[in-house]
Amino acid sequence: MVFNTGAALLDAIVLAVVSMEPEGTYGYKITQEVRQVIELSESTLYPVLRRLQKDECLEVYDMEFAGRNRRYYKITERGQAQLSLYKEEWKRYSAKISGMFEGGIR
Amino acid sequence: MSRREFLRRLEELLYDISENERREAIQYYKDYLDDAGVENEEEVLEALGTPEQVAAVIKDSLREGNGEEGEYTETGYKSGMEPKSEEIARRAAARYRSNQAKAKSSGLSTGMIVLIVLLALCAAPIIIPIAIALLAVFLALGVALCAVVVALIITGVVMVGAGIVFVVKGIGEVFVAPYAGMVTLGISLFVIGLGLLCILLMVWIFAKAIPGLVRGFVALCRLPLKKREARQAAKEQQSAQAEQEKKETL
Repeated sequence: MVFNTGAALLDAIVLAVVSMEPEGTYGYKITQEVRQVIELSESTLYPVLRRLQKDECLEVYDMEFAGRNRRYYKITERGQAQLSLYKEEWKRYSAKISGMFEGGIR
Repeated sequence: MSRREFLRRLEELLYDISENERREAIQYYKDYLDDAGVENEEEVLEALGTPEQVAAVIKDSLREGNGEEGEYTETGYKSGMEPKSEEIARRAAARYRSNQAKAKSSGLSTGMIVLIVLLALCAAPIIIPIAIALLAVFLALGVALCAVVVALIITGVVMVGAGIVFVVKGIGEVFVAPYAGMVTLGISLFVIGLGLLCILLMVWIFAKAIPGLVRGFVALCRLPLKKREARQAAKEQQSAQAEQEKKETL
C-alpha cells in the first residue's frame, strides 16, 4: 500500500473489527483481520489495543479456551460511540478526496 | 528462537515498565502465539520481529501515551511500510532496466532484417550440406554406440551361459580331480559374475544414459528457440505487471 495509515484511522479499523464480534474477539484474530485491509507489522497492534482499553473504548475479559485462559476484547458503549464518530468522519474525508480526484467538487 | 525464549527475553526487556503493564503484554503475546498455533510458530515469531523490537514498540507507546492525541505515532507502523516503498522503487528500477534492455535487443531495423535474410539465402548452399553431414555424423555415432552396447550385452550373456556350463562341468570334475575342479568352478563363477555386471551396466546405459544423451542433444538444438521463448515470456510478464500497476494506481 502506498498510503500510510494514521493513528486515528488504525484506531477506527481496530474498533470496527472488534465491533463485528458482539461476544468479543482475541488479539491474534484481530491482527489477522486488520492485516486483510492494511499492511502492518504483527507487533503493532498490541499498543493500540492496550490504549483503546485504557481509553475505555474496549474492555477485556478472560475466558477459557482449549485449556488455557484467552484474553478477549469487546467494544464498549464508549468505543461504539467513538467508532460511529470515526465512520462519519471517514465518510466525509474520503468523499472529499475522491471528489477532488475525479474533479467534480470545487 | 523458540516461543519460550521469545517470551522470556521480552519479559526481561520490559523490566523497567510497571508490573501490570508487563503482565498485560506478556499475556497478550502468549495468547498470540498460542492462537497462531504451534505449526506456525516459527513464521509468527519471525513476523513479530525480535523481542527487542517488540519491547521497543511497547515502551514507545507507554512513554508517549499520556492521554494526548497522537500518542501512538506513525513510527510504530512505519517500520511495516518502509520495505514496501522500497519494493516499489525496486520494481520501478527493474522495469526501467528491462525496458532499456528490450529497446537494445529489439533494435533490429528492417534493413538489418533484409540483410540477414539475404545472408541466409547466400549461405544456404553451404550450410545445408554441413547440417546434413553433422546429422549423419550424429546418427552414425548413435548407431555405433548402440552396436557397442548390444555387443557387450551379447558378450555378457555368453559369459553367463559359458560360466553356467563350466560350473556344472566343474562340479562333476571336483569328484574326479578336486583341485583342478575347484579352479574350474571358481573361474566359471567369476566369469558369471563378470557377465552379469556387463549386462547390468549395458542395461543401465540403455535405460539412463542414451535417453539422457538424446535429451541433451534435443535441448542443444532448441537452445536458440528457448532464448526467444524466454524473451517472449519476459515481455508478457512485463505487460501484465504494468497493467496491474495501472490498476493499483486507480
